[in-house]
Amino acid sequence: MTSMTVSNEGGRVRVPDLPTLSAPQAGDRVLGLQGSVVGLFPASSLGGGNIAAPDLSAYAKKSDLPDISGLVTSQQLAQHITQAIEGIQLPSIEGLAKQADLTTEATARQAADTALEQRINQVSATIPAPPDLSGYAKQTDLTTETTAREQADTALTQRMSSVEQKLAEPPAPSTGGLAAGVIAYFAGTSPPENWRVRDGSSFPMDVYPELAKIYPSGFLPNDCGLFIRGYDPSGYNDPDGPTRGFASYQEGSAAAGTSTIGGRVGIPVFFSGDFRAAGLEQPAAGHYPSKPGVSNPFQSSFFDIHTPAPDNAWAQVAVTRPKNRNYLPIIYAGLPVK
Amino acid sequence: MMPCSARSLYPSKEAIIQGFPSKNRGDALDYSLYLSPFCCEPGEMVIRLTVDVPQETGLKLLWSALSNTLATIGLQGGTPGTQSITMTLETSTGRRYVRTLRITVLDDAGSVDAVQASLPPPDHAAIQPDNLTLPDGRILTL
Repeated sequence: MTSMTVSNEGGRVRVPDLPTLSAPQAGDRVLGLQGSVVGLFPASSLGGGNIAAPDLSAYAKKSDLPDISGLVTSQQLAQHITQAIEGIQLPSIEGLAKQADLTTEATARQAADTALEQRINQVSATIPAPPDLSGYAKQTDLTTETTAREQADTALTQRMSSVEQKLAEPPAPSTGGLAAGVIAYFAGTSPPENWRVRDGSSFPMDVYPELAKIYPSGFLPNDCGLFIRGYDPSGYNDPDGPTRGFASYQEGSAAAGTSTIGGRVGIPVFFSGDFRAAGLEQPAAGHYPSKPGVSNPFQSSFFDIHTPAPDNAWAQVAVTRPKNRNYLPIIYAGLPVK
Repeated sequence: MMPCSARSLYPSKEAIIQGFPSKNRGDALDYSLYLSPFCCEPGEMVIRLTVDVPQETGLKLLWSALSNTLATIGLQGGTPGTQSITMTLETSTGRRYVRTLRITVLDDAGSVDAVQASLPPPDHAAIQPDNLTLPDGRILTL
């Protein structure tokens, strides 16, 4: 069990009221020790209950108290403090503003503030209304415009850089404005660069892809020894034009025009494939070719033909051939890709 | 310090057992009783407080203090469970009240069981005059 007793001032016993320990009486209460607690206890409970000679060995004697004669009394301490206070050197407050001065200053500042506010109100009243800026661009519009221009500048710079790179590259060889497939004649036995001889030979299709579009077989026509004629699909000058294929080959022919054969005037005489289809008989042996040394009647300038009845006569006709001079037939193959 | 109102109890005028708010074992807290219900006539005041704490409670009575309005005790530790202590109050007119109060102690980690709490008694309250006990155990008298 732990017991603890505490009392306030009203519950305490003044020392002068305490009974003297020299002659405690039964029923007296003394300030003493009981257990480990200091309190007011019956005198009979102290010192082993022997009131006449209590055991006071646990109590301190006056001689046990320390000598306090040398200690400073409260009066001396108060005097010392007073002297210390009087010795404090307080800083001079001369020149500092007094409360009244501060009040005056504050009042003056307040009045100045009021006057300033009134003046501001007056000036504000004279400021004209802000102009109508509805038609002007806002800062955000300018920012948007600037951003768009910057983007355009960037794109233009990139484009210019690309163009400059293009310009820095070596120029592509000129084609002279020719398209692959243009036919010409060359005054030489071998063609110029990128031209091919139209001699029925093949050409590298991967090197000349443009020419390959015209001749997918990879072979050029053989125009050596041939004349060329304009393509006439409408038949304006060539009666067989509408049915004649483009770039088709045609055998040579000879026509005597309106020669008189055997008394018949104006009969057509020509050689072109089938004699009988022209109303002529096959020339008899020994009658053609009339030009010695020429075995092919179609390459002769003159030869005899025999017309059937009723003429049944021989006539000499001439093969039509314009005066000519041969040159190297060539075709433009386009720029090579390799 | 000021006594905490959360652990200040208005005692019943009847002799019944009342309970303080519970505490954890490691708590060191102040518990108070309001004194006004004990004073029945003008001028009557509580002048003495005796607190009895049984050993088996495990509670350590740090101090007991008495002011004009409150009787306050400081408690530390405790055995988990419901513990009872007794507070005896004597008034200036000689009335004496013995009140049993219960405190529920809750268990905790126990890491501060051996640590002496530094909870001070209330300011300006009368406390047990420990200063009358000399270091060698002898009582100082005048």
